[in-house]
Amino acid sequence: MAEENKEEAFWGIIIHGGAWAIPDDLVQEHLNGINKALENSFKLLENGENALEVVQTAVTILENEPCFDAGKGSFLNSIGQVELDAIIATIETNKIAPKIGSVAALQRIKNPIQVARSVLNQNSTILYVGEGAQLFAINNGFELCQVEELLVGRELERFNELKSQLNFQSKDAFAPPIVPPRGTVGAVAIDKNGTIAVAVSTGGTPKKVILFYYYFII
Amino acid sequence: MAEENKEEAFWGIIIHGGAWAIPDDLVQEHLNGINKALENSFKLLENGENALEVVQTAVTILENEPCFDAGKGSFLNSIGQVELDAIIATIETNKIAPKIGSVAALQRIKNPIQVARSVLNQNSTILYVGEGAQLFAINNGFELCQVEELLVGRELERFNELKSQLNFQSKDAFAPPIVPPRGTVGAVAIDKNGTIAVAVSTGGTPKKPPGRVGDSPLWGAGAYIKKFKKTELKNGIVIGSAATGYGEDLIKNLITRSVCDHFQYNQQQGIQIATENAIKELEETVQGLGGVIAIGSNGFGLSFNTPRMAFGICTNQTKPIIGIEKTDLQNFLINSKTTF
Repeated sequence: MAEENKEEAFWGIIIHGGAWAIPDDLVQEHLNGINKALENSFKLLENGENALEVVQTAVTILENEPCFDAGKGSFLNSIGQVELDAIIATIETNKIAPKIGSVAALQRIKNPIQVARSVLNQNSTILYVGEGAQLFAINNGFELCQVEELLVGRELERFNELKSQLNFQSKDAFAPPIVPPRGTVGAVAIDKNGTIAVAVSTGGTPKKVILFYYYFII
Repeated sequence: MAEENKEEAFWGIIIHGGAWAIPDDLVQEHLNGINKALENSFKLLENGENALEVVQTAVTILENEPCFDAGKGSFLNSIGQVELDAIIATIETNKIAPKIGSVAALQRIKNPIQVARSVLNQNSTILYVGEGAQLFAINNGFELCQVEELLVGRELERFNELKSQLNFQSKDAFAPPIVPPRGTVGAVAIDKNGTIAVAVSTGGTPKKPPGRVGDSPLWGAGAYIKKFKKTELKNGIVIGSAATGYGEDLIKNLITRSVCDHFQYNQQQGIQIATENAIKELEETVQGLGGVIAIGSNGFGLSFNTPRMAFGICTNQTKPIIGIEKTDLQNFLINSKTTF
């Protein structure tokens, strides 16, 4: 049983930075990123912040850390684009129904979890995808970033290579990817009021060209 | 218990053409469309066709019928586009995991359920959205149609009006739509081999914001099928469900997963009670409106809390039942009580 403070209900946060064969040389970066997100979000909870703000903060921090496959540090798809997905939800005090906001295949936005939050705030549509998701973001005050701002290291190199080619598209674009997924990020929190919230963000699965390139570099 | 033909396992198909306040002047068209889809798909089942082909056929027929809000007869979104969603799934013989294919916000395709089928066949990605979904369709031999080919009546008029305007986009594009949803179509079938499949297709809410996706193509919301392992129920018992209604409510509740869960944890009461419990829970937890259909190894069921839902059922143990009113539902229940 938990060593509970009998005068106070249980509250806290749990986060993740991806379940995959994380290589040894990336372990410390991952732990540092988790630690940063955890410290910041726990402080907020301690100060009485609500769970929704807390999970959004945690995931925003993880999106901004390049070692996780979300926001900055995401992977290119098979035709050289960065398409991001995110979801955020909460159940408010004295309510049973969740409020949910999510986006999928959203391009050129640094922090998709924040767009997902705007979707949630609107309390109408739950999921926007593709171009419509980008239009929604623009309509709600988000600025489009350059694709390069989302890329680091080898992905940035690959993007510059692809830019110089005339035609991204090929039949291979829809071949099943043989590259395993990477590090989606997520957070679930329960605050001092007992309110729960969850947030998840990802840059999705990288394509097979990446894997071959990675092995060549090693 | 079922008056089962001891020599033959239960098989059949249940379909729906949307749960909403279907106006009086559209009732007959709806019943005709349901009847056409039902007749054709039941014949296929009789001839031993597999459930996946059967639900795809049923939904293709309903997509092509202009009175349903799927494929032809869909609604424009708030900036004059037609964005379609569809999902199809099955659990193959001797398998437990479903195979699923789905598309969302797919433009200029006449039969999205067929693109969803191609996604399923690829056995890799489950969901393609937007431009990527259209690219996939083109890469898999589908031809793009003109937007007008998907529109009829008032929507066609509205499209022509909008075309003459210089700028579709406005802040209002993302205002919450005040128009209620229309007629998503769906089918669930169990074939002579006891294999289950489900298919759902929709044009979404009229004047919806661009890129808005509702419950239809999302697993566990618009559609869900499950096979129970030996340890849960008997070996190989299957159940499947399709939903229609206010998409956001159905997502919040994961309504088709809810139907299957209600059945799983209350198997004695049967599939009909499971659908009723799922709709009750929808009401209680999210004040949702909609309808569900379900079929499984041991029977079938449907429930809705909207004024009407177009539906049709035909199995090897029941004559065809077509309805649209809650009273038709009562007749159906009387029917089903005598056989299950």
